Amino acid sequence: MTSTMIKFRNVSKTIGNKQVLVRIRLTVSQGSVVGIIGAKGAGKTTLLRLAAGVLYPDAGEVWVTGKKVHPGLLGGLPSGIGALIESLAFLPQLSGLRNLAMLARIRRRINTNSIRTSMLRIGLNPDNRNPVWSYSLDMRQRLGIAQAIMEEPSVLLLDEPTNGLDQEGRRLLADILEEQTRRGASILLVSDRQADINPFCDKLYSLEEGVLLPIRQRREHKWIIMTNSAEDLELLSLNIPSFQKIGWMNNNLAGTCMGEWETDEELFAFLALKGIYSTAIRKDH
Amino acid sequence: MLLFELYYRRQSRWLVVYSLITIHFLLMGLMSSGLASIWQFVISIFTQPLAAIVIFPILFIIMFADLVSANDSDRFTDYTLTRFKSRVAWFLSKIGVLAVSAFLFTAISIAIALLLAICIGFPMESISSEHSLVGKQSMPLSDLLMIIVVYTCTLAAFGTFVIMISLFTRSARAAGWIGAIMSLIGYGCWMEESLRTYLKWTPTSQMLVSQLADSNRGSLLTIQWSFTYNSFLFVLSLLVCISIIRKVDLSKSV
Repeated sequence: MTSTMIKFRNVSKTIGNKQVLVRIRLTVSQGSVVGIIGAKGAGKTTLLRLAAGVLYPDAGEVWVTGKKVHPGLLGGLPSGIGALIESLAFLPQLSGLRNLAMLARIRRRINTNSIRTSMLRIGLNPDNRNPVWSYSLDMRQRLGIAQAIMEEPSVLLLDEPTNGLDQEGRRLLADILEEQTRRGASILLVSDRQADINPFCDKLYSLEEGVLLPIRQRREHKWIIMTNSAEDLELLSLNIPSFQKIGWMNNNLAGTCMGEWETDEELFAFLALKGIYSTAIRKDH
Repeated sequence: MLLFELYYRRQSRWLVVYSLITIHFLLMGLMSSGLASIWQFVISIFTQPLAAIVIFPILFIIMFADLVSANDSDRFTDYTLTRFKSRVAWFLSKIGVLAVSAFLFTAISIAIALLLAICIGFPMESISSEHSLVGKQSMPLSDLLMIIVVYTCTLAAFGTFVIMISLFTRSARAAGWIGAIMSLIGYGCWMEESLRTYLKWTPTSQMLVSQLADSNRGSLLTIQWSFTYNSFLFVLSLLVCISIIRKVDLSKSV
């Protein structure tokens, strides 16, 4: 059974004179990835900071890992959070490993080996003694991701996670997010570009003028559809906007598309409804 | 957390502060050629009213006035805060950093003064010195110990007070200026005979070790007063800071 790891219940927040969030309702279940897109200054980062306890809501409630995030007597903070929020603020004169070791020393939950493993996982060399100021944007972003995942948090809050990452970095990030959800972590991603986080997300929302609007409630998968008729191939192009022909495959005409179908049966049923006959379909991983 | 914060104080800032301290010591050394020993030189530096009330406190707040509020602009808060159990635990770790830094700041300054005294060529007298602070029979080392304790306690209390102001104003710079003005007011009270009765009420005058050492001889300040004043200032500032930090927005950007 999956439980709710992050819950925003009618959360409103004003920063300065601007009402950034208006009665936000959002739920992130265990092992799922929720994405939020919005223009710069729309309040995406504010949403993450509310979940991290850096800010408290003016109205409504924020719950993280079953604990209400509110001032209380000591200024309560959620536990088990891994965050990469906005800019990449590291100590520039130290190496990546030393930066992470200093942060890890606060919780004292992991040792140097775990830090090294996290760095290697995102494609950084932990033995690189160069100071962080000499890192490229790509390397800094990777270091930010490594610090977020190194303590195996149950909730990951990632702000523009693909920012500055090269193709290899994006592939590694996708693998890491997959691993994290498989071990039960819940992930909240925000970005100003839908294409950057769309492939990772089970649910996707848009934040516009402080209001959260659902874009899609299910994860999109990439499908390969094969058919032996050119006519069916044209019908596929007409009925599925994202469909792209890729030519011949196993003596069939084939194409790829993105869609929210979870199983082969769901896609077959959709195609049958449209009167399209396909010889084979498969999810492309 | 200590190492993190010490590294965060950029090397350039360390360099500027200790360069100013060294220049001050050097000028003092060149103007104090009549002093009999390195101990007398070091003690005279740390008991001089201008240095005690103005120079050391201002240099200290240049280093640490932004201990809490700088994180806001540099985004360190997001990384460090999320690793603590509560905001108060996070803040107390910073105050711990401040207290340890007050000690290090004093100890390093004394070390620089000793080194300079040796370089300038003051004679190294025997450990028992008639130029010692507390009395003819006291050891210079006990004087240095007293300086370290008084400076550490006062800088920690004054630093916490400045941090409290930085939380009110949401600006380390404004807090630094207010702290500097308070130091100057303290020095004004020392300089102006008619205002000396107010001296004991200013935070940085608690560092007037020469007055504290003369506690039993009707001085303006006593050790008991200074201890009570610093404790009260520290605890009050701490409680006000905690009441702010537990609920305030730790980021101003959207």
